Amino acid sequence: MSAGAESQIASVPPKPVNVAAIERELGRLWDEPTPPDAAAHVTRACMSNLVVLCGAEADALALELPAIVRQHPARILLLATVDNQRDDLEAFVSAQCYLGSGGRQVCSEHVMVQARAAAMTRLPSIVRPLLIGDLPTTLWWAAGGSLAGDDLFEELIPLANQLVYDSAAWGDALPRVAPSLERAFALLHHFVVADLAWHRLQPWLHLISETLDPGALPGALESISEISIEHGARGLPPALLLAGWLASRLGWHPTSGDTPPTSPLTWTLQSAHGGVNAAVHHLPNGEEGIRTVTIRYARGGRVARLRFAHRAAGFWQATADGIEMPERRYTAPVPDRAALVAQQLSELGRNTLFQETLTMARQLAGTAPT
Amino acid sequence: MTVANPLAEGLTDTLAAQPCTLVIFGASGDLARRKLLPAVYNLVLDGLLPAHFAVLGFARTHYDDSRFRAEARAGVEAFSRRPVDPARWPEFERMLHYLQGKPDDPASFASLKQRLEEIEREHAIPPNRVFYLSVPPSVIAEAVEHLKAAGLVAPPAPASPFSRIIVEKPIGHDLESARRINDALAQAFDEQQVFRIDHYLGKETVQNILVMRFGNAIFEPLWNQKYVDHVQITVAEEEGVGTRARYYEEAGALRDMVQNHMLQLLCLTAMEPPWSMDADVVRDQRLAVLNCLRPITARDLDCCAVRAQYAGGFVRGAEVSGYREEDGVAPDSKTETYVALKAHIDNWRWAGVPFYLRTGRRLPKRATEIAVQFKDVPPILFNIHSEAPLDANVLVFRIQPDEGMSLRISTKVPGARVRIYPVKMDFRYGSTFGDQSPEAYERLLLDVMAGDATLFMRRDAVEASWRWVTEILRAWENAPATLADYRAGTWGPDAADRLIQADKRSWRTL
Repeated sequence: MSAGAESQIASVPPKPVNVAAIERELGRLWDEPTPPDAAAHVTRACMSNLVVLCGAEADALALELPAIVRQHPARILLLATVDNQRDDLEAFVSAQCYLGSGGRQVCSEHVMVQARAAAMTRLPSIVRPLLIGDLPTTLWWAAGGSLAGDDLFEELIPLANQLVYDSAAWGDALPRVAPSLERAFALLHHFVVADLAWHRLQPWLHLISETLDPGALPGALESISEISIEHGARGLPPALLLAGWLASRLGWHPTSGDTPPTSPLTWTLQSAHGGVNAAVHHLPNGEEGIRTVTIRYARGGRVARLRFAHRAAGFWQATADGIEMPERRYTAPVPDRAALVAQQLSELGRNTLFQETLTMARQLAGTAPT
Repeated sequence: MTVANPLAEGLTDTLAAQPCTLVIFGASGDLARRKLLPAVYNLVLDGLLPAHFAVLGFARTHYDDSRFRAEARAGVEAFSRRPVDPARWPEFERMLHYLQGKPDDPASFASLKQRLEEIEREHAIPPNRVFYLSVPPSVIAEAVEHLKAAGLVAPPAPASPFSRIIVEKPIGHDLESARRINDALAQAFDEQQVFRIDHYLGKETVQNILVMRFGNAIFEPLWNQKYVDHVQITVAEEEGVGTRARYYEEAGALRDMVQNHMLQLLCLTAMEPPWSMDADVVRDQRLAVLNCLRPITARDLDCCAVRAQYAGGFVRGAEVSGYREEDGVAPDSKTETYVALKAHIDNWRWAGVPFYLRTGRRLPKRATEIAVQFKDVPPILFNIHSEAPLDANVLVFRIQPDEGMSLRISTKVPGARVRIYPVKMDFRYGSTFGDQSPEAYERLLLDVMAGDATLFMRRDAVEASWRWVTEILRAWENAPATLADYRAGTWGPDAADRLIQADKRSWRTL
């Protein structure tokens, strides 16, 4: 859930500071309480360090940060690569405050460092001393590009306990998606890894799980013969995750695949009960993300087709052909990116389900032996 | 249904509510409007309820579905922690149904069964049913009997639809009546199907007590009679009895607060580490504390039990009337609105450590907390001045309001001289975690739908707490002169101060 804007009471606007003096300037923020409500007690709140790596979209991203710290107070270090500034490195400090319980002003510290390409290698040395000890550190890869092969990312990730990224931003071309899946998979063993696209998939997973529940459709899970996923822009990685989830939960293993650079991608999977054909189709126009999931199964001589669709914001629907099943609806909140990040910051444990899903999605992407 | 679904495994880190229909008895009442329906609404907003879910309200009041939905909306608008979302409301409203009926009328239960089956067909819900009895205790036995007679109670069995029942406090008014209610429940339901709700156990801070104790290495080694001087548990209410006078006249503070909420807080504070978080393992440990409570008998009243009733006074500058002047209260009422107790837990860990409990209405402010006061440091070094001893360390769990924890420690005042000053390390949920915590009822309803009974009272625990409380009630019955009074807006009667001062201790200032 995003922060309530009504409780955002004050902030110290970004103040340009010398890179070497960031820590000292942060200290001054607390020596000079923010004036708009000087009567209120000021509490510096910090549960984590959040290092955000982004590109030219730093200004837009900075607007999301208050909502994150409203839910999960953190010291935020926003690192942006820009080319249109005079100096190699420019730094700003600010505080974001809201009115907490008991009339206290609860404030979080923000540091933004903008670097020209030539100065990128200096960023880790700025980050290291600014991390608050004894607190978890999350690296949010908000740059959007591939996780693989980025030197700054590789230098910063050892400082973190957790990596957050959004695979939907990787695009819809398998050659670009596959190496990132591979890199995320490699990091699974060392860090808590979280994909915002996985969080957005949850309503799909719940609806599919409930619809195919053995109590509701006995025998359906064992009789699935075909799955088909249609997606729009920013939909290939989520589609791979969804297929990976089904395969990993139901014990399917890919035996062959046809994964050309363009749609559709197809696989044959083997389950304990027979073969399953899977396909992922890219629909170039229209809504982003996953549009429909179709699951076909045959049982007792009858072929049933279950169709899951995203109908509107926060509303998913399941319908069936070939069997008697009333239309099912699933509603769920649609958190924005800031809310998803804030929610993930509190998760310090590994998500086994996601790990198994990612492992299978990587196999489907063809980067691992099947 | 409980057939294994591999797709459901690991899908949610919260409890997975199973598809079901929630039947609320007393659906037109205050609890449904203020707590239950807003809780269900927030669970829907959070996406925590299954797609196949419905609520069926059942009460004497002549509502239909649309009136019930309108009442639900009014309740959510007034009491929900989040406002009505016009985009989401129609979907929520579609889940709400109502049936007019009487909990003492068998014919109403035949109608209930028929209506339930229709709703289950309409929403594609398997016949999993949760019955929430928000009705007076006197009706419980009959309602349960009719549920069973109407074929609405399925015995617990794997891979079968479930029937669960939620019972609100008070479960009886003494040990005997509690047993009667429990016997009636047992006639129709297996103990694992019965969820006796105590909403205090659903509060975040209350659940945090176990996390603090057993999730941190630094507290548990000190958590015993070697290091703890005493424990104070306070539930202070600023309000009078308000519209609850009829109930309160029958109950009083001991039954209303101590028998359930306060003894549960005491159990969580004092229990041994459970060897797993399995519901019955945790509940066994809570029960063990109750079984170790030293009885307070007639001859212990002077040292260990104080009761009192508020007289007129001022609260936050406003004049308020005394209890006996409240609407619905008998002018000669003997009901206590304040209780202070000194309890002892006679086991290895807590031998000799008093647990002071106090609760009352019309106290200066609303506050609930558990304070664990540690023993003094030896009278040497910094604690050598007997005229100005160091303040002892105190660990406080604030349950409400302003949920959080604090630890009082001694520290040196900056300067050339060695001056020691007590400071408070303060953790507040509100400023640390931000956002709003779910209401207790949200968590508890979800637990029932998921079949997790950890936060609910088991029969043996209810009866053990009544056994202890009934002894005090009997002693008071035979000693009418023990009812003191206190001015509204004060922290209670002088007798309560004497109770704790007799041990050379004092009540904490909240």
